[in-house]
Amino acid sequence: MDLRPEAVRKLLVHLKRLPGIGSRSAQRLAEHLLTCPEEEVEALAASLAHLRSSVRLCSQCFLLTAEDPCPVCQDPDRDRSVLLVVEDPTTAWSVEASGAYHGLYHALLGHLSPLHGIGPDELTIDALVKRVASGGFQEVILGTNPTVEGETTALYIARLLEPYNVVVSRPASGIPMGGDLGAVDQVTLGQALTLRRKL
Amino acid sequence: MSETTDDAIVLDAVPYQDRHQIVTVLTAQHGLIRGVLRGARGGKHPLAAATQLLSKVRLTIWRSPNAELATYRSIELERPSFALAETIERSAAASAIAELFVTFCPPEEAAPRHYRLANAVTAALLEGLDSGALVAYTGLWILALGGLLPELDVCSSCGAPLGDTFHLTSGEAHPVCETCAPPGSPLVDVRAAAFLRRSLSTSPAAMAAAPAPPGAARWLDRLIVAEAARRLKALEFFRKTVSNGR
Ligand SMILES: [Zn+2]
Ligand SMILES: [Zn+2]
Repeated sequence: MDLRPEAVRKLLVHLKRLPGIGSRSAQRLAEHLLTCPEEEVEALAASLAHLRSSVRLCSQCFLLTAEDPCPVCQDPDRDRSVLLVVEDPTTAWSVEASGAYHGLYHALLGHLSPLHGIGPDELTIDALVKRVASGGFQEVILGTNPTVEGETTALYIARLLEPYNVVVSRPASGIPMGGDLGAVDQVTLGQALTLRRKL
Repeated sequence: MSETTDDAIVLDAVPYQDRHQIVTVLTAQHGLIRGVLRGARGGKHPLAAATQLLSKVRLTIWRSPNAELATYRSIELERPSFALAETIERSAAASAIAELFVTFCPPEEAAPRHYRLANAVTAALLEGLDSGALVAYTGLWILALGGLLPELDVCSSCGAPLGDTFHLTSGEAHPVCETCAPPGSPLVDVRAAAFLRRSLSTSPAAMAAAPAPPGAARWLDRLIVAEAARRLKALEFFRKTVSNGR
């Protein structure tokens, strides 16, 4: 006999659809939600309810934001001569956390994937070219992922940006900090050696 | 249930659940296979480099009789494909070539000739040989292996031997001689006809030392699109990329 009340069973179905959540974790989460203080559950429910309606894409850079334009686009202290192009808006969160970047962003919302019918029109490439064309940027860093499709996307954009007077660059790729040279896969290792720097 | 080990060319990889990928490969023994590679997602893993477009891998494949997807128990990278991303033409050609195999390869049956074709064409593409010629070569052979390539040496209407050039029937489906050609029918010129015929007995590396004659590529595209009976978006993207680059 399945003793789980219907509300619990429904919750488990939804939890299991979340990335990284299997049956076990879903059950643990459900148990927690059933035993923790009620206000906590209400606060969680409220934040879930408002998540999608309160978050949108910035109309200039396509980062996820509560206000449009986003805080980065509005910030007068950002370096407006540099633009970092990323595939996913959430990549910008990690870049911000690194503290190493102070310019503006542009999220493509994916990468070129001709096999899956994702061409330039399915991404925000047009908007990117318009931003660059309107002037002000001296450098565009193409921070697409180091996959064949990510590289292809970077090459495609680099070609479109040729007519404009901007330096187009790509982040360095290589061995993770604190990593072990012998444990790195051969492709990354080859890349790291090709792009070695002088000391 | 069975476990096999086979060399494979990666044709496609898409995210699956949180950390896995569904990878489509072409093998000699089992043709097209779709299977799950666990833990291949999330960049940090060395497996991520192995599932790039057209990389050559050695796979241990586990297949249970009624499962829709195979499971890859192990994967080893034999020939990386990152050099394909050095130019946009090459990488767009790689997508177009993968699309041809995914569209025309028989699933789950031995396909040693398809596999050899994919392997040789990929090697030539990685060497930096002409990407347009390699797309055309792949298209021609994909049609030939599927029994879909029209006879190139005799007129499809009267059976007379064709010369150095030939015409095409209306709809451009078949070669015909000058006498049988409908009025205004397109002519496949000397270079295009020679490219088509020579490709059937020559390696892709030798054929891709120079660009394919435009007439040959155009006719092959027509035949392929007609046979596929759907849009081949990677092929379209390749054509657009090449024409923009000139
Ligand atoms: Zn913004
Ligand atoms: Zn005839």
